[in-house]
Amino acid sequence: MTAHILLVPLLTPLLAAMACLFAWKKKQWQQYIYLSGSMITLAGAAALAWQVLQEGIVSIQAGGWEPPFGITLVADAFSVLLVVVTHVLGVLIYFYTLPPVSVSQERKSFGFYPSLLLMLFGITGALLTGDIFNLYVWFEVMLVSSFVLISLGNERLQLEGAVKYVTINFIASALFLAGIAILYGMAGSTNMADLAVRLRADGVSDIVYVAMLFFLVSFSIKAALFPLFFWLPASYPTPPIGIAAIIAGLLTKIGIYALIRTLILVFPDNAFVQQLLLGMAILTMLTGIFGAIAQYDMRKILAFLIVSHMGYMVMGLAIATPLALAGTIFYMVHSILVKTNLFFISGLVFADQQSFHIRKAGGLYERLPWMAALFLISAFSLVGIPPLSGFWGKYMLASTGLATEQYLLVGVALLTSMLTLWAVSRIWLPVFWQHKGAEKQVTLTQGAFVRKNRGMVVSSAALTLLILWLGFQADPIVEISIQAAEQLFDRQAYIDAVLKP
Amino acid sequence: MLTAILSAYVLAPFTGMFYRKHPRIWGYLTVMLAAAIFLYLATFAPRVLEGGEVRFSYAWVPQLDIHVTFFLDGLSLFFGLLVSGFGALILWYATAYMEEAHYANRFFTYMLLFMASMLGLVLADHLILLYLFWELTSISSFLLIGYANREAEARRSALQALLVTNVGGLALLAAFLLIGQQWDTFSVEALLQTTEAAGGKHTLAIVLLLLLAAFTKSAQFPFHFWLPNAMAAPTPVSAYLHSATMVKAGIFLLFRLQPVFGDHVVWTWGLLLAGSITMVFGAVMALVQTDLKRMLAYLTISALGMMVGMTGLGTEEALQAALVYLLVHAFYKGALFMVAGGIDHQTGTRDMRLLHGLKQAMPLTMAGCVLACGSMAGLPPFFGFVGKEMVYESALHGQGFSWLLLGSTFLSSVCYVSLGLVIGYRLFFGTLTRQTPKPPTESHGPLWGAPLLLGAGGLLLGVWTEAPAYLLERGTQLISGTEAGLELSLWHGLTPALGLSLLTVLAGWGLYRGRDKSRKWLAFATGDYTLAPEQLYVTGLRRLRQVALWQTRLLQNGYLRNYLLVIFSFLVLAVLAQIIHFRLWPQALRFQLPVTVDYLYEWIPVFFMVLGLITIFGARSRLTILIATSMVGFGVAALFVFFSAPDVSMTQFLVETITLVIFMLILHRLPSHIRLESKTKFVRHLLVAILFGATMTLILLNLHGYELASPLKEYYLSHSEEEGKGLNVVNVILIDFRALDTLGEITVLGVTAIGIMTLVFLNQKK
Repeated sequence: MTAHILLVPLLTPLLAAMACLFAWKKKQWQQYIYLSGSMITLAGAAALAWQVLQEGIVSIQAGGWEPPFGITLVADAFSVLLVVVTHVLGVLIYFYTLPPVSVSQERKSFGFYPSLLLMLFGITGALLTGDIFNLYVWFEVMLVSSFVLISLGNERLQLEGAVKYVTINFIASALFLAGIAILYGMAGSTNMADLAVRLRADGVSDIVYVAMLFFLVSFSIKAALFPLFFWLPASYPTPPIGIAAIIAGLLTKIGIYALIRTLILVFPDNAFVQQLLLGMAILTMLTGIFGAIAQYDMRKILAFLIVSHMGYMVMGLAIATPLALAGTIFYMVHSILVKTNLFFISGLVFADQQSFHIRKAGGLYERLPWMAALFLISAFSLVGIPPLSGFWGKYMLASTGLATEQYLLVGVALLTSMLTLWAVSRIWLPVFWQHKGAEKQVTLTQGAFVRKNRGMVVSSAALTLLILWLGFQADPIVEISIQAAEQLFDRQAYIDAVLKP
Repeated sequence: MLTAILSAYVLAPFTGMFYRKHPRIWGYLTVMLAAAIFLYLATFAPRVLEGGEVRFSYAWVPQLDIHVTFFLDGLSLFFGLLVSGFGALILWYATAYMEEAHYANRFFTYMLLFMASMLGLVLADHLILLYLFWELTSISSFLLIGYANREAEARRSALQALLVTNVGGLALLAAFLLIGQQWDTFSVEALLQTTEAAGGKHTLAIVLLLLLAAFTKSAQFPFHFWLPNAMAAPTPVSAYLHSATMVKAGIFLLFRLQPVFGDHVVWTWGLLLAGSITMVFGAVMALVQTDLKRMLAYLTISALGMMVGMTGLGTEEALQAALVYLLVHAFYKGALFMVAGGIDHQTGTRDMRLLHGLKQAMPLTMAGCVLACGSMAGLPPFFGFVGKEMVYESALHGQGFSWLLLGSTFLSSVCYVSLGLVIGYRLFFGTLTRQTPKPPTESHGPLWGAPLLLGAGGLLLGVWTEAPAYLLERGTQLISGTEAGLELSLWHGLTPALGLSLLTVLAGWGLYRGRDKSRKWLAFATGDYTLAPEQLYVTGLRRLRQVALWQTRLLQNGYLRNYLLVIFSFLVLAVLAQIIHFRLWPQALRFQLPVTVDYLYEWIPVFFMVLGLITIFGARSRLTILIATSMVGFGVAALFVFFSAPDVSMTQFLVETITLVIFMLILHRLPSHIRLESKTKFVRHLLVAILFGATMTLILLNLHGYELASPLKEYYLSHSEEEGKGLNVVNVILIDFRALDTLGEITVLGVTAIGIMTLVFLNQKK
């Protein structure tokens, strides 16, 4: 019976979204609904996480059909960790989007809240499902709702970005579907645990490795890996900053999640895919960071930084030892928080300076020192300066990388972290240290600025505290990451939890 | 111990927030904290200097075997005392120096961070902890160098220092990780006690990485250039950075690990060569500087080179000399920087060409300066003399290539004497300067007090050599890994070293006298090529950015069709590679159901599909392409009718129709024709399309060999009526067996509806 706690974080966003639709155009009502909905979801997610971490994998069968005939929902340490992080952001984004500079009032009364809730619904579903076709459905929910969010408001640039976003991501979905079709054609099942058994049985055709590539390419598009990341820098910088922040923080990591889940659990090992992942990790890190160095718009710098740091996450998957994967998992949590916060802060810069361009905004170090502190913490965390959060993931990845003699990979990872330092300095030096003279006359005092954008300030400060906690008190999340990675490699336990409940 | 270090970190932000309200109180609070740490560490001195060790251990991230462990032995205690003692003195100096500065609060905050990080660095036992503090010193010095944030010079220098030391930091991390792998421990203490020779497979890599880390941090040639630029920071920072912290971190690292790697040939040669070159280069560069601080910065580089070179020599004697000279250098360099700061503060300039004859105006500053210069020049009875004698002795006794070191120490010592005269004599004697921006007056309190204290200390240690001998003995033993005693004295008898010292003074005096002539033949030192390493850094970054721009334009070119081309090419290549690798050729086109074409009309949809395809390739008009695509779609739908799947066919017809209608609706908003710039591009697209089609066909033919023996089929058929309460199995699947999928799809439709609503009704004008 207690397994039903799993349904709370999954269904609450859906119910809240439906309630929001009844309150169409009534912004105030939608806000009440969103806030209470997201908080209930977070509480449910926390309760679920508690149960999973204490008692192991939790699973239920939708509609009570015995597996593998119905759809199974499964929560293990890996998925609940991400569910909790997702819904922490779900709550914070509410406050961040309160000031109109983050998301305009019209957008908020029009479809912002229900779309956001449905996106969270899709993400939670993707994290909790144990069925490969069902995963496809959740990806569709995520894709369509994020598309609505990205294009919300119909600004010309927004639509331009949204078209690239939706086209490429639909192709990714189609490839995913093709992969599912191949698997179904071979094994006649879509339950992941069941597939894990069947695809490892004797006499399975090698065509399974072709299917693997379809999954790899599809999820790599979603995760914005080289050479498939183009849609990300094209679309993320275009929507309002509040929307960009949550999408940028979350969606690519769900792609990585799906990649890890399917490659580790469902498919048998394949050397070619491991090599491919290795190469993609290296090139993703490098091309991404080069992209960041070449940009002048803070949002574009950050978008390329996302791409670059996806490389670290693939790195762990490419090395594929439990500790490396634990590094990846920790890095995912860190990356979600830090990237979102950097977008948050760039929004704050915009709120003060009316520009995202590093050559136009300036002087914030003296004007708003607390903002400088927020930026520095997140930026150095991204670089991986100890003891901030980015270090721990990097440490786990680099040390297992060296232990498995992946010297090139580790070398590139360290080089990337140095170039990341340069990339964030390219924001810090002109935007915070440099003074652009009198052309930017800012009239608001510090107090007035904070009052006007209180929600943004508060949520960014809260996220910064979380990031600091993750760095200084790393052991709980490190422990969960290790537990999650070990669980991932213990396929039999997962299979038993699903098929023999 | 943890409290001691953390207290500085905790005090730092509060200083930043409240300093402005009560600058005196908060300023002195920082001084007192540093002094308290000094005293706290000093209480361990009796125990530790006798050879004892003190450990402090706190759990942090046990899963990764990372603990907060500090340990005090002779070496780390000495460095700890140096850091906190000089910290207190320089913070005291800064309370006066920064009095009128606008952002003094930030200065004190960063200074505290800097001090705490440096303390942590020298006291850390766990290597990863050491790395942590190593990076934090880089960060805090970055913030200090960029203190004058409105000046482009300061920003540039700060970034330069950060990037250069970060390269070293990452090298250090890699080295430590490899050490952890090779010796299976991260504890410095355990590493020092290991009897295992440094002959593991990673040793060479570790040594190279450690050298890179130490050389970048301790400003060894060719990584030295960030240090002279770092003087963009307020002078107290320079004084601290050069005398007791930051640059000494690299030396500390070398000392700490000397017992482990001291026998490695790359280690000794690397240190010897880098040290010698840096020593002479720094000294000569110092001769031609006109900015007092820049001159001192090059002198630091030179002195660091001397310590590195001595470490490279590796004899007991040489290692003793290196540590002694480190203390010597700390005293005189700290004093000289503070003198430079005082003069700058009082006269408004640091230009050596404008400054002379300050004796009357600044007598107390002069006293400190002259004492420090005496030590720098290595004159008796200063501590500097003791240090230099030891350096000469060990270079004379060394084996093999120690003549290289002897030559370079002699050359640089000559320069030190000459510069000692320039700074200690010419600045103050002669006619009074009239060209300074502000008329010179004596500075107050700490501005002359702190340097005088250090200068006098340099004299005192020279006379009372028992004190430094007591302080340093255990440290030198730990560096050399022996139990040799340390004896320091001014008088060694008539030794060759004494003769060499005499010669040095004479030559230095000669160089000073002939400084106008020597300027001509020193002109080479002012040439542009002396800046070559820095140029390399600048061009390197610029090139890197050019590559970045080129790459980004190439990849992120803005054309959706190019993106799709790359995506499909990637997929096709990967899949084909697998197909070839596993030889997944379809086995003789073995069809399970004999496909017989019973009726000719079954060919009609196929005909239309092929026609549609050909049309697509030839067409340029979007409308034509759309219609041709639909033709293919409808053809597929029609085929389903013939192959007994009427429900699928119905769905397909509906989807095709809707797609067609929607596309027609938006078609008028797009340009009517598609333009591909060139024939090659067309061919490229065509090729990828055909390859993709061929690959998919191959896969399908392969799959066809499989007979679908799905347990699901039977289950659904047998359970749908009884338990699903429905006769149409497809319907039961949709609304019961897999209802969750349907819920998701309904959601997709719902969101799409919201999307359409917003597209139509919500227009944010921009």
